[in-house]
Amino acid sequence: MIDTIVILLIFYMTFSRFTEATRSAKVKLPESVAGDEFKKLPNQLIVNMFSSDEVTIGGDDYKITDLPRLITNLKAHDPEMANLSIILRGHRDMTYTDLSEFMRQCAKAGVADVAFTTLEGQGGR
Amino acid sequence: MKLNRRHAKRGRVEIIPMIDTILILLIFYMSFSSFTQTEKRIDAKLPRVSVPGGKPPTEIPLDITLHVRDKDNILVNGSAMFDMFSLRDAMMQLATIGQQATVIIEADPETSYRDVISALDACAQARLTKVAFRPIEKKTAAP
Repeated sequence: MIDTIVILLIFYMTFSRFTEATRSAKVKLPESVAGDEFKKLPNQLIVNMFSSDEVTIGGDDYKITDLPRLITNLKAHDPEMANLSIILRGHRDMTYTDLSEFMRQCAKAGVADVAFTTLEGQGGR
Repeated sequence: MKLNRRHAKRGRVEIIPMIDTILILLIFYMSFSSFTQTEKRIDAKLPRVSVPGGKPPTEIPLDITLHVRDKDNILVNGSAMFDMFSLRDAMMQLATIGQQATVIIEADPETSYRDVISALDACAQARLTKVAFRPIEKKTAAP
């Protein structure tokens, strides 16, 4: 019994990962074939988006229209964020209207470096 | 005189507390861990975000416009219709003409994000990373 428990423990310790607080586990990402492995860098802002009215950044809820103000504040207080890029973790079922609004707010905030997070898969599903 | 020699107690591994600890650790890992799929990132080097009423995209040399209706209906440059699987091949052919091509993605307002990302994925597979999204024009409310 001890052997079994120890093996189970080693299995869980090796293969489990703890989700980062910046990433919302509720967001169901779309799948893609292309793309590099996602690694969080210090000058990245991770935006979890369900719709234009339901955006989570660093565990706090916002509306997408709050994004330019938030970015301006971040740039003012953190010199590392001067050249910030945005990582969008968009819910797979949101619409192009939501994405369009996101891009509009990025343009307003002067951010052109945007990346989209996906899950490794077949794409188109 | 015979002395009573006190035998030193030999150290031993306490099995029961060890089992308790291991069980608690096991329960902790089973409860709070999750097996996540590897997340990927598709970079979009945005040359600009098209603003309605701004410069028309035809001024950029070799533009490829994708209009995504759904995963089976993607209009390329306003004429050819592709599905998601044939789009990748078409994008690869277009990429051989000009790697510096800019892809402008537009979609119907109700097109799902996953279909738009699939179109972006097809571009990324063809190594076309200069992408612009054409935002939906906001309709002004009638007076």
